[in-house]
Amino acid sequence: MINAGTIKLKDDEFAELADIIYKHSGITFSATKKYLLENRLSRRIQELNFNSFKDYIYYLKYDVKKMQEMITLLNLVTINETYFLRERPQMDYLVNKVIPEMISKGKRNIKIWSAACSTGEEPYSIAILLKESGILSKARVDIFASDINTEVLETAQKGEYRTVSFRGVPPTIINKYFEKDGFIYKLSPEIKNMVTFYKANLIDRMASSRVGMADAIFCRNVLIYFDIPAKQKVIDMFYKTLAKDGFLFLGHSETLNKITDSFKMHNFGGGIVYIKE
Amino acid sequence: MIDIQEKNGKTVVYLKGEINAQTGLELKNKVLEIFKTKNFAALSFKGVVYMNSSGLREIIDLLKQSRRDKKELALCEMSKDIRDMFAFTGLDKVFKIHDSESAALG
Amino acid sequence: MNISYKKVSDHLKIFMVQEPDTNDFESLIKIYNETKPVKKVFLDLKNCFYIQSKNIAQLIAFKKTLSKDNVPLILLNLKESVIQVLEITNLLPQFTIQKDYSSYTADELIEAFFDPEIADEVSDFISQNYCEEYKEKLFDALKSEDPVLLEYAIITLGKVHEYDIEELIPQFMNFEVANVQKAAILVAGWLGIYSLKEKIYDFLKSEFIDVAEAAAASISLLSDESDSDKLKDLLESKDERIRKIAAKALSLINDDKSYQFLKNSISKESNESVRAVMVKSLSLFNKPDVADLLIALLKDNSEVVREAAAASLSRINAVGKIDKIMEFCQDKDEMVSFFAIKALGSICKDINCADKLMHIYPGSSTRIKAAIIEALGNIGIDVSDFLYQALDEENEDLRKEALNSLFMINKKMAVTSSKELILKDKSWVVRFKATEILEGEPIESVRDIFKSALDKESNRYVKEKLISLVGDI
Repeated sequence: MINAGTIKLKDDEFAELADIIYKHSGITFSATKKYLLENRLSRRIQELNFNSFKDYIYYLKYDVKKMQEMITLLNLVTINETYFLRERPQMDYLVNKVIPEMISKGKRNIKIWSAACSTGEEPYSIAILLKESGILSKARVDIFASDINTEVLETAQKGEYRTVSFRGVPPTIINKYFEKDGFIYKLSPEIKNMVTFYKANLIDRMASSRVGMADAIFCRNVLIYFDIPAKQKVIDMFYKTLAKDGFLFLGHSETLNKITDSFKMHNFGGGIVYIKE
Repeated sequence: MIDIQEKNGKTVVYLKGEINAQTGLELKNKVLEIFKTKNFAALSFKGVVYMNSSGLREIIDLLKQSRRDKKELALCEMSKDIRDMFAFTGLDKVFKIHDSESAALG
Repeated sequence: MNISYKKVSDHLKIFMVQEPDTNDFESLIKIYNETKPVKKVFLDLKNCFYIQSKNIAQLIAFKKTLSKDNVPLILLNLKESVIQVLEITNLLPQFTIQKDYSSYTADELIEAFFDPEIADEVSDFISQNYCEEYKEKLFDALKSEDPVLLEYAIITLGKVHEYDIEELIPQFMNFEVANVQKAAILVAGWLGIYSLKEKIYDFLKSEFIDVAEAAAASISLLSDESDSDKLKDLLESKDERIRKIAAKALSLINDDKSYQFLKNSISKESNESVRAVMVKSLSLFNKPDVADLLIALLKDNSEVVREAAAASLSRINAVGKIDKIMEFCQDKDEMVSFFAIKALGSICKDINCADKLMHIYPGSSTRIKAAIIEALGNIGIDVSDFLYQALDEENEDLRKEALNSLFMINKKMAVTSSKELILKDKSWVVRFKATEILEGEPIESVRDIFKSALDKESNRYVKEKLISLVGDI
């Protein structure tokens, strides 16, 4: 709470800290995200009276309180960042490949579940890409979106965003689907109405009851917050919710390795997708 | 209390001991003197152990005048506690503060 | 829209289009050949929203063409979507990536205030390049109701000492949202608006601690001899956060009265985290009895107080107290020994200290050993034999620290050792440090070693570092 400046992270310190975070959470920080670690951890380091990241790294490695500190560290670095069209290759694959194939096999009702939707950028991105593809005239697609945090759900339902949510979005799409009002971008009702939001805790096996059977589930950059038994529980629930040959999309640094082998892994070039066998 | 050196054609001003109303004023005048012939100066805080608000005010005033004259002022090598004083007053956002002298000379 | 470019002296800056295709990437090499000779090429991707994976090969081909002429390529202003494509294809480490706000329009800069990760950088950029256009846009932003925008506009105008904002400060101090109040209060302190000091006192009672903190900070900046008396009462506030803020403010005012108030309070204070802040605040007074006070506090019952005292001692350069500090190098509280050793590292320059530290080394814990090796490097006495032996330690951090301290004392020996360790140490942490040390050597003398290291390296961080040094794709 006491105001403090930023401590600079040296290259070797960055590598070691990124390695520690990766080993304990599966989250990778590339060198372009160095500033993020500086911004988020400087205050904590000063609270401990240290003035370098190196001393903090030794604290994490050798202090008697290291286990406790690891939790503090992970909480500080895992604040979830989301924006429109994040990890877009997966969404392109869903819209341009997975869904057309389902339709060609005669499917006319398709359900997609964004299981940890935060402020809504992910389900709305899928809705926008579906709309753009023209596929909606050939089948009915329902998008469900859930999160445990009611505050973010409120924002999602409002459908109002700021520039920071658009860090990878072509202006043509912004102009087509958002109305700019000062510094606020309001999502058009036609996209808003395509998504149904509800509150759910993924650890709860009833989390998918509103969805019923899903054909594709997105759950990206969330499993990293769970320990292995919890991960297994969530993945098991996803497995039961998915229809046969259904698709599960995880964040690109996440894996089902050592959690389950009931999914088939497929590399489509722009990333990995897991298919229910 | 103030030592001035040229490093690769750039001026570094080494401060020592305590920065208060008197030494702060001295520092300000020295640097403004330098700015008569130079466009850049780095202030190294490596030897600074104490600083109070009157000293800080002189440094703010120095920055204000250098801005007006389009001169560049960089601060570097602050101990954690001195840096804390800048952060407490929000001035860490106002000054360019670098960890090392070489970073300040860029 | 076509690719545009400009050449300023020997720097070439190329602006990529929104959704580039194969032809666009081909034209990069053409532009380069037409503008040759240049020393650096910047590819600005600010407008580029997506790079298809098939075009990435062309980008790499462009980089290769440039490196044949020894011209570095720097990518500017990448969108997250582009970074992700490079990340997924594992090519991110191949590129040097930078931000360059000079490509942004004034409106885009103001909008960037909403992106918390870059807002501070943008504010810095505006203040360094402050001009009439930016001034106008910032004052436009002040008409908005958005608290984030107001906060950054006020802070930025305060940074450039824009006196036209002075008359607006009272109005923003009364704004309903706390972060705007805070910004206005801080700027009042920076600009030295003494007439607002009385009003700022009211904000010490704010329910938002950040606002109260800013108020205390600005009062100290605007202080005269009467203010320490007024702030003293806050040392007895029921809110522990306020007591901490008061201690900080008094240490900034730094007059004799403030010193007495703090000294009296620390003995009465029962909350250990407040006392720790008071310890630090006291250490910022240039008084003869401070060092003894801090040394006495090394025996305090509270761990955080002991740690704060040790950390402060290492700052105040208590040269006269070296012997006393040495007594704490083997304290039962590891953090106290840690800071005591650090203190010695920054204060001592003589052989006695180095001897003492080498003497306690064998029986110490890993973290203390690492601190000792680091301190030996800082002391600067030639103990290369000791450090050379430490290169055989079982623990990776000790080997790494030993290599680093060796470098500070005996560069030649450190370089020779690094040439060996970069190839054969079993820990990547050590190999990384060895690479960093060799990075400072002339590239001709180490290129072959870097290449053989790269061939057998399996750790991603060391690999990325080596690639960035030898530019091998």
